[in-house]
Amino acid sequence: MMPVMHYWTFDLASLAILLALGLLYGSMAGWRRQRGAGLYGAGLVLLALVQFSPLHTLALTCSMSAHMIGHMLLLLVVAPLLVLGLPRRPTGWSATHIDRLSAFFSTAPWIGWLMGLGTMWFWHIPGTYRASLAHGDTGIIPLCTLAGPSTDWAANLIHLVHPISLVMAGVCFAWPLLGPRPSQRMFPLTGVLYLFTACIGCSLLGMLITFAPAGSYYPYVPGQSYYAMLSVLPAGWPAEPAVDQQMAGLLMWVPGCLIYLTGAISLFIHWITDDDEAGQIAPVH
Amino acid sequence: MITDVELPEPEKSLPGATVNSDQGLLMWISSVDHKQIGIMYLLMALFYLFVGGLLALLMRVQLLVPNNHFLAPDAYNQLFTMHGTTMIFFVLTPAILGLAVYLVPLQIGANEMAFPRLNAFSFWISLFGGLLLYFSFLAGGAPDAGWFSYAPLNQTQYSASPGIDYYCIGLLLSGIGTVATAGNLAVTIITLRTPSMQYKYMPVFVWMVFIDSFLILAAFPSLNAALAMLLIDRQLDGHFFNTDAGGSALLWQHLFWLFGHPEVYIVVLPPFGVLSEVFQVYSRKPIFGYPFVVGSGIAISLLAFGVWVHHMFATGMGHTVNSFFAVSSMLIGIPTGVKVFNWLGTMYGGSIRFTTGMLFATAFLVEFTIGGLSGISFAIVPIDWQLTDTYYVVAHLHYVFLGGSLFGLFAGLFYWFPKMSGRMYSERLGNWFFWLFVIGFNLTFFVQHILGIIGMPRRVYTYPALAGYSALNLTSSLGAFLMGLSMLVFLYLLYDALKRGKRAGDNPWDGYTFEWLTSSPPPLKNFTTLPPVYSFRPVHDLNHPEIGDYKKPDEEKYGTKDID
Repeated sequence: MMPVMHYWTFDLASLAILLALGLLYGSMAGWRRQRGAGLYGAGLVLLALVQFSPLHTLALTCSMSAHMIGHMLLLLVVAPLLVLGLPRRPTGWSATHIDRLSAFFSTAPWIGWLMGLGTMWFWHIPGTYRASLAHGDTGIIPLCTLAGPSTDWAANLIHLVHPISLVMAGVCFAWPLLGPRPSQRMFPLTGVLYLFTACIGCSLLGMLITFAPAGSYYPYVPGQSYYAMLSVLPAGWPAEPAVDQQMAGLLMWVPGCLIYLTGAISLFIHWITDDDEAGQIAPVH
Repeated sequence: MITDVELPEPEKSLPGATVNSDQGLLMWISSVDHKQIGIMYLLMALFYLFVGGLLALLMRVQLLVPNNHFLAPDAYNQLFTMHGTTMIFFVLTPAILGLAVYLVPLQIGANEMAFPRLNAFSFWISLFGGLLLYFSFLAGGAPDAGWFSYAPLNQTQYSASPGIDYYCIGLLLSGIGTVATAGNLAVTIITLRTPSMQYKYMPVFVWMVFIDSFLILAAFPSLNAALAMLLIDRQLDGHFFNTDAGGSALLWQHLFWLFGHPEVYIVVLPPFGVLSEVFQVYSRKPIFGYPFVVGSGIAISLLAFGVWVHHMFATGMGHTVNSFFAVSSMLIGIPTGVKVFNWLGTMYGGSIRFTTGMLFATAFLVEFTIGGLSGISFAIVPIDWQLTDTYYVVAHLHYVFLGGSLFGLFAGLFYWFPKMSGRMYSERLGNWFFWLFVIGFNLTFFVQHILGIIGMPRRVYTYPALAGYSALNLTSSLGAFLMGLSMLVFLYLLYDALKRGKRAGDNPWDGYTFEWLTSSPPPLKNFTTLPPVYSFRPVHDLNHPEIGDYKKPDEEKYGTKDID
């Protein structure tokens, strides 16, 4: 095992998010396992991995590309999995909320589009990007930092809001396409266009980051943990800041586009091979 | 019992409807009819094909023997620039738009485009854009910086003649026309389909044009912006691409290829649609794997925006950038390969008629695959570094644009010729044309792969008498003359068919789509009534009710049935 793989972290805030999402599911599903629970669970596991695995440590201490992988997983994989896994027969209070949300997104899907893309762009303004990182040389927010000095706490609040906002934006983005009310979903071909335009919007941001002057996004404060992390990276790892920033942009541009593409193609294939669309009746001879 | 749907009439009659065919040229000039505009687009493409072909022949004469002085270096620069620009923007683009404008309303059961006047505007502005580009020859010199007109060569200090200014304005005008037609086609397909034609029953050609329209709308603005910026650089002393003044030469390449790579797919997707129609009708089978043919078209168009940096591997952007685009460029091979296998699957087990159209379609499979494979070799960065700007690139791009797009367009032209003209062409002449063209094409361009590998740079007006160079260039030039000869056969074929051709019936090939339901050539008003659509082969269902597609389950209809 490579040394970098030992750097797992743990923090209460992420645990609280995971617990809250788990409880939310339980209460929506009436504390019964419904179809899709596996997908929802997979979303939670992936969210936990993004928040606790060495990816998170790298993202916080030295690597913008690791940070970018985290963004993309949260917005484009975790959130759609959560939406897909929502209970089909929600109980009690949640049924009305899900209906209301579905109705809202079916009349104004562009809001979901804008939330998804807008959030992605927002967190990549160099200023907000810098703010979204944890402050203080430790970088990671272990239990004790929560009770730390109040200024640190306020600065780290943005860091805590950051993953939540990405998941929320991703949920809004995915809802019109994959929402739990199939009848309220977008027409699949419009969905392809929805993803196509989002792909272009995301590619543009990727290009911007790739070709931005080296250092535009280089917010990592060289300190103890920065050098400590660099020293555990495997040999040949592209750790120079300029390359790292370029790779982050490229990750969003190329593999990011592939995620949208996969979504578009699967929407299309599901739709066209779906037998009973619009109840077409063949002529009777 | 099939009940026909009546097609609505426009509330106000369109201009030109009162002008009849006796009024000759006036009928064409004043026309807003999609069929006449489509034919004018095709004639424009044919005209520029001859002009651009003539330029190419002049170049091949220059390269016939080493150290030739038939053309001066600056004249040679103008010729290859004009040849490339003409073939991409004034042959392939109008040809695909012409076929689309002619056929889309017919295939979806509409009587007109959504915006008939815009349609006419788009055609005329494209035509005049081309004429303006050629006017540069009289105005002091044609553009001479290659069809992609790289900065800083496109700046006034390197290209002082007004050629590049004409390049900017000519392409801007035709670009406006192209964008307008794309919007027009997309709106037409969304709003004017006959009521029972769901999206999943649209002919593959309509699908490809539909996808293509969005690709045009997304890609052309980048070119138009770059051209406007270049014009500002040249006329108003702007500094976008002028490296002396702190501009970025690389920016031009980015803007150009952000358009330029999708452009390759823009001119190849509609021919893919054409071929899908040609393969199924001449194989007397429905297309194999309809969802995959259409789905791979969508995949290609989405990938188009994630691969264009592979044109710039040699610009020194670093290993990180190059590696990403090497991988994504190889991915393009997947949806394209899917399509090739779909077409092979369509032919497999079919009762094939090798008409001239089908010959071109079959040859396409071979030639385009060669172009695709040389393309994949370019995705490997070290190979790209070795071979970029050599004749290997020239060979590759001609196998894609000719072996891919043009072969597809010829297949479509022969397939729809009876519909457009009402006459059958001579298959004997068609065979002559096909074989001369294919042999000439392969002689010209296949040897250029070798020339590139042994190091002959492209765009240099002559070459020394090195080992291998002379014989290969001679072969290439002879092949080009053969292609030129075949085009004369093609002209005679058209003349012969229009003059002496047998009357074509409404549906001479037993075609599947709505254009075969109306008369040949179609009247000004395409249809009065149409039968409802139950599958993507509505006319086949109508003519062969005993084996209609609508009786089959989807998986059988689309060829997606699992074999257990």
